[in-house]
Amino acid sequence: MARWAWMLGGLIVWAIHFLGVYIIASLGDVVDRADALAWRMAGLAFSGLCVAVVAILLFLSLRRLRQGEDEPNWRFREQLAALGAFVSLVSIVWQALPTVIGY
Amino acid sequence: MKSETGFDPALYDRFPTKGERPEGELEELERIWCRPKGWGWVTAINNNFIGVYFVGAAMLFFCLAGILALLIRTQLAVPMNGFLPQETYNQIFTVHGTMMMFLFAVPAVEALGVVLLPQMLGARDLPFPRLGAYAFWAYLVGGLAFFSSLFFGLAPNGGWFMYPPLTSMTYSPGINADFWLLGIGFIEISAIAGAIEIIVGVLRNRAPGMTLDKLPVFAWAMLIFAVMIIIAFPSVILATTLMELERVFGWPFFDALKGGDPLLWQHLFWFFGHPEVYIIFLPAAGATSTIIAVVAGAKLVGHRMVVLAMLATGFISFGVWSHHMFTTGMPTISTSFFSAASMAVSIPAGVQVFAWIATLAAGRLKVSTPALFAVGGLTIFVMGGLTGVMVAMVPFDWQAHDSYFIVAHLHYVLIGGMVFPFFAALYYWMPMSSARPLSERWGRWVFWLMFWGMHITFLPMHLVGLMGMPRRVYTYLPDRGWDVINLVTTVGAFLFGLAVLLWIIDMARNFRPFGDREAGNVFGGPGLEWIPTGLYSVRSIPVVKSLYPLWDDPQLSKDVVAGRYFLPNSATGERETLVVSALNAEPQYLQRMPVPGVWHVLAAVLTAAAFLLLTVQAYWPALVGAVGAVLCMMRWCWDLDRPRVADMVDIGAGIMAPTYVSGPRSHGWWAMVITLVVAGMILLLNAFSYVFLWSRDPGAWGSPPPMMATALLVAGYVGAAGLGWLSCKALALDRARSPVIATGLMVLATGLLCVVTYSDIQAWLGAGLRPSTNAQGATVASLLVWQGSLTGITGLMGVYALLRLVFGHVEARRPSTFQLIALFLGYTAGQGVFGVLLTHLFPGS
Repeated sequence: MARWAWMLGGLIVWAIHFLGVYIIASLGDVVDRADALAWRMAGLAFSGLCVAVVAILLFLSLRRLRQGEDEPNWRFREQLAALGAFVSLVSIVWQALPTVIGY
Repeated sequence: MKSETGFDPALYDRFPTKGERPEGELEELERIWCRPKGWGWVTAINNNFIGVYFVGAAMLFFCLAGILALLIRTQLAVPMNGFLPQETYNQIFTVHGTMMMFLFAVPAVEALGVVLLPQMLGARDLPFPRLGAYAFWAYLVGGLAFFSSLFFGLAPNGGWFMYPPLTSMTYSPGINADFWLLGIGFIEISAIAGAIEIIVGVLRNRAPGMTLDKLPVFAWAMLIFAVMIIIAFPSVILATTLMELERVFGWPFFDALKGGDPLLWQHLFWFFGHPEVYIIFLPAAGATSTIIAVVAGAKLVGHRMVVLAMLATGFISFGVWSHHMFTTGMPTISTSFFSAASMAVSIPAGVQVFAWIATLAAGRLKVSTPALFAVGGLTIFVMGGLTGVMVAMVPFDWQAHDSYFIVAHLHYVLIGGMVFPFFAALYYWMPMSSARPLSERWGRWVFWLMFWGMHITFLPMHLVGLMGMPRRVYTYLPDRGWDVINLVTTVGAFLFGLAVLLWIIDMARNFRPFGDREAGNVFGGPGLEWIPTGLYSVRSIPVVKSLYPLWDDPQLSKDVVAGRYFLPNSATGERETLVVSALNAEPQYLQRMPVPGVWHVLAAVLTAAAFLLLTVQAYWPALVGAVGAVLCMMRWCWDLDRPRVADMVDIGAGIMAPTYVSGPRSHGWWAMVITLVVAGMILLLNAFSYVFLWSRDPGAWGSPPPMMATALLVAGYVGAAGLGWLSCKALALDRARSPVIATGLMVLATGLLCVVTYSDIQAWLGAGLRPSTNAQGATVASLLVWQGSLTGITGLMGVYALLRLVFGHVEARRPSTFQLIALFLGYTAGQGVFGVLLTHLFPGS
């Protein structure tokens, strides 16, 4: 399970990010307004956190790719992890734009 | 080199074995996996039969729904047409959409997996053949009953997504909507059963050595497809259940007057509905990736990128559901998130499209019918994808919403993304499953008629949509500029219908019971499925060393057929296959497989009968059907945990493997965990409904039961889970009284669970909550109903454990049954704790 989680780590962070910003905006909508500055900043902070996590994942997977492992299949797993982290990084930044510009 | 399970990969060097195989091995395999005789075809369970039945049924529903499409187009051919009455038209377009989505698209690709995966993975069969057969019969009976409702004027008429309040009792008072709600909920259970089989099959029944990087791209696609079903489909099951509870008992989930909200339905429906588009697309993309590589004669360019793209599609598709709700007044910033995700999902789709184009460029295209369908589908899908990006933009969507532009877009995506690839797959793999290819000449006629018919039908729809024609209207006034466009569209639809008719005739020719049946590897495919097979699948299970085994090792097919690899015989004298580790496909144990029987068929028919009887509100007969189905399932499960025939057996070249494994290594444990994920998704979505409806009107929610009750309930659930765990520990001690003590503890655990759940219900009733009063009552009750359902199942499991003790089937050497009951019980208790804490503490007093 840990290996699957590693391989899909970037995409999992993307899913968490998506749910997070959606929940933060929804909470904002109940308490105040979804696009109120405080709630937008909360969303942005969460996006920043997710970007940091996914960047670390990308760095670690690239480093492990360089180091190599003594196990069948490892390169495939690490490549998927690195690519997934990269795609997620782009997607999270893209999805954070509404919180930056306010709509 | 490190091993995942302790298996020494050096043992693979023993294969292919040398020398002749003993006489009689092949004959024994043929005897064990024999063709059913007489009525035996009803009870058949192996994929060679069930897979073909499944594809056949899916195509039957495709044709029936296609006929409905032609009726729709005939009605719309000219303005103010009276070909169909308005009510009939409503029923027909609802049933058309519903059948295409629920009875054709998902089951068809699932069926393709059932047919192809065992051979493609080098397995004898998928791990739960009876579950697969149950899924098929449930789907067939339920689907036919659903379609037949048209002939009695009882078909649903609220559109394929059945929005309330239109479908509420106030505006849809008959039982038409109930047919949809109960029928679809039931059919989705069948889809989930198939998905469980596919997930465990792809991960655990591969040929040894087939590590993830050597897993065929189609198998990857089916794996992601099945996982997505597990995550998405519980949502529609919950939605249909809530709607039915509202319609029958007046629990106001969607009734705004009592604190409900129709938007809850849209959230739940589209959380399933949009991923479903990708659920349909991914297996078709897997087939396209396979076929394009073969027809181009080149390995798939960017295989890893394609796998990643499929994974990314699977994830991102769960972040786009609200793009169907841009016009509902959601906060702008929320719609922006969904808009961004909807655009982002085009990136992985684009990766796949460019990989296919690059593969075609890298190789040399051999034009054949599968190639035409694959490339034609690619073209259509790209066009549909582009309009998808257009409607992902909120301002454009506001203009195009509910117009024929959307109808055109969704048909481009679904026909290009699923129908054409599916036809490509049929033409490509037909020689494998029927040992006879379809006609190439007829195939080209079918393709070109279908290709142009499709464009003539749906391209003009974009225009008429932008000119303002709304979808779902049964007629329109003349002189709006829509007349000619609609007439052209209708002509195109009939061209498409003609193509399907030609294909049906060719299929009938193909399955004629005479003539040669020795097609072989017609297109030169590289996968294991092209190794000559019998009803036992592969003669021996090869060691896989390449992503394209037949291209990279031309000798492989001959050695496999000669029995020079794993399981060249039947090690136990029964049906069996290898179970391997999930990552590196290292052999772990021999799975003894079931034989054909009648119980799963009876269970499917009785389950379908129970649902249908519920539809017509015949509650007592429905209860009898449900009890009968449960008894059949218990009888079916009785043979799952059989006495061991031998502890270790030779699985080939002197390599020994156990015949019985329990706990997290066993395939049964995996299936149970996946089932519990389904249950967990229903719980989470139920919790979402609870919080969502609270957010609509927080002030109207009342106080929960006292804190003391909360603490006692939590303690009770924890105690029940603990007793279940103790039961397994007692059995593992393997002493003379272990079976009795273990069974006693298990029965006690299930009993305690029932008492605690009942007490929770009583606590809420004591607090004055009634389900039909307001949204809080309804959502708390729905959480309790779900908890009660699982508790009821746990109670049945307790009875089952007791029966196994009475018949002498409880022993320490066979702990699987008890472990699985304890796992289910532990989950149910955990769910109970979650439900108690959520409803008692949030929003609080």
